[in-house]
Amino acid sequence: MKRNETDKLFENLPACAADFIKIVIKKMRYHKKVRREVMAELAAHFEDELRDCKTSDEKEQKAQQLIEKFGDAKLLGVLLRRGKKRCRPLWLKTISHACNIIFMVYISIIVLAFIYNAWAVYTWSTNDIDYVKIINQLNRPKRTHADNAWEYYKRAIESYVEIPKEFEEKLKCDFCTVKFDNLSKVDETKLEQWLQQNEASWQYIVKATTLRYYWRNVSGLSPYDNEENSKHNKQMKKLEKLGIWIAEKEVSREDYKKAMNTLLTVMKIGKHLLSSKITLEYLVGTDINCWGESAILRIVANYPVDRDCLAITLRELEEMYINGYPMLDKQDQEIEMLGCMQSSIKNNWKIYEQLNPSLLLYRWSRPSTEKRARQFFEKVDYQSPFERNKDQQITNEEITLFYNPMSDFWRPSWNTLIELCYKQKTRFRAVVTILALERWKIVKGIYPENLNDLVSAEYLKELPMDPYSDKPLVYKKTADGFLLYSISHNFIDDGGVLAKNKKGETKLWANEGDAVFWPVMGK
Amino acid sequence: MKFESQLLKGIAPAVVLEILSRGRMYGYELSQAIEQRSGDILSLGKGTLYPLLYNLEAKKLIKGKWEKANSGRKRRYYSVTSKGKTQLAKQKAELKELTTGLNLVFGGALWPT
Repeated sequence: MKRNETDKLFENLPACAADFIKIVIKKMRYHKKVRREVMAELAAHFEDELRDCKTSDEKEQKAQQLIEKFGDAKLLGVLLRRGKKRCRPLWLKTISHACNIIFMVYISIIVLAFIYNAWAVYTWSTNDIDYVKIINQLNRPKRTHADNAWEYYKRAIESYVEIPKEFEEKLKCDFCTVKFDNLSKVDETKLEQWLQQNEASWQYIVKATTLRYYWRNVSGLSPYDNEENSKHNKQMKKLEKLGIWIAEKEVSREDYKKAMNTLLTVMKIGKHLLSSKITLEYLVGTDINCWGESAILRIVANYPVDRDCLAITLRELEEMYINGYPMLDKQDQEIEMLGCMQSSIKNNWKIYEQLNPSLLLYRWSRPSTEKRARQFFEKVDYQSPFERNKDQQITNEEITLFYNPMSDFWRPSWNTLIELCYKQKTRFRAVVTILALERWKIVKGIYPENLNDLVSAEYLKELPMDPYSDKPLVYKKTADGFLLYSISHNFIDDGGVLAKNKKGETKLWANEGDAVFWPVMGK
Repeated sequence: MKFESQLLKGIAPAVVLEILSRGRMYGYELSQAIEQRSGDILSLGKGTLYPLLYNLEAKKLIKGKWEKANSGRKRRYYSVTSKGKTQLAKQKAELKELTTGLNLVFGGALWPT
């Protein structure tokens, strides 16, 4: 009620009467409109009672008596509210009662869910499974310690000398512009010094890459409680960068054979990480491979690499994944997912910060969560993007794990990961094909008419398949060379148009255009 | 005379309905009318008056309406509804029977001597 309206109501009443009425209305705690009416009614009653009083003292006295007769203001407010509530129409009373019942039911469900989930979390604690141990056992092949490349990588990391901070920014590079020649003389000297300081580290890396196996005992699976894994991955990336810069130095000295050899070493680091059962480590391996592949292509595109060097590199690459390009394994993924769930519930409650509290209504018990996780992995497959698109199957992301947010949160984006595996495999095969084509060109003087010629002449073991079609990568001879590309995400042959993302930036893989492997971007 | 509150509790609604059946009134007017017409024997407590009116209004025995009084001020006038009249008739019959019964018990002592 507006102040001036209230003042008008009480203008003929003593202050004690006005205060009493205000207290009653305040204690009433009801709709504004109703309270306004009651206030007006009480004020009118007081006014009528005090009508015959002549002086203000008389009014004051009588008002006090009246207030005593009215009784306790709080009780009166409660009685008035009850009375007015009963005046509500039947439909409003029904809705109000229904809302109350729904609210009580909702609160009861929340309380029961909390109690249930507390018990469910307890069951996780009492029934511990050492998933980390299982992953470590899976990771480790039946080999001796001496066959483990990790021991040498560890020494390489220990003897690694960090890039000087003031120099770090300058040495950041992307796939297309790594160039020793871009540096000033001063920077070149600093870089040489840094590379010399890391000579010992590099030697350990070279030794490590001569060993067939790589395994490392991990201490945890959940990203929330495993800083060690993250630190390890960063360190391996630093070793890869070291290799890239060593190769760059060798290119600047026109020692292309040595540079290619160095890059093969870098790719072997990637190959080791691809054998890991931990997803993050696997992804770091693919990234390292990408860097190595890009550097190889850049050298082939810009420098006169001889055919022997190409032949050696080609052979090494073909032998690198002689048993097939490694894909993620369902069993490993399942164990990793279960381990992450267990770790996040037991050790770290940060998961709850990322989930909507209303999800606490869902089931969190270990048996139901593990069952859901297994169901998910039973349904996922290794179909290529082309096969998935052709069959129009429900994507794995659509296999929702209803009423189990724990499984939903931790399950991997299986489709995305498998697609990434296919892309990496395709890129690798594309690099091998390009080396074969370049070698053919050096020997024959011209590029072949089609890729089958390479396979027939044993320049290539097999045709590079496009995961976005059921055919090999598209190869076209051009005036100044050739085009080699995948039809990419849109499953349409755009004629070798460079792929672009929504921002219009040129990318290797994007929703529009083709994934062009040759000519190299930013040659 | 001050009566036991429990004794008056049951008859207050009937008294209000009876007074209002004779003409519409606002709260203060009603409380004055009860005292006058009962010869100051009955007096409805101020803290009881308005809750009672609202309860009767909720039961649709009376209805309230804001109108301008003779003084020019706005007052909420209450009048009895047809349902209220029926209820009043019923309660009056019950009270009459009660009085008859009590009279027989107390041997006619209920009537003033």
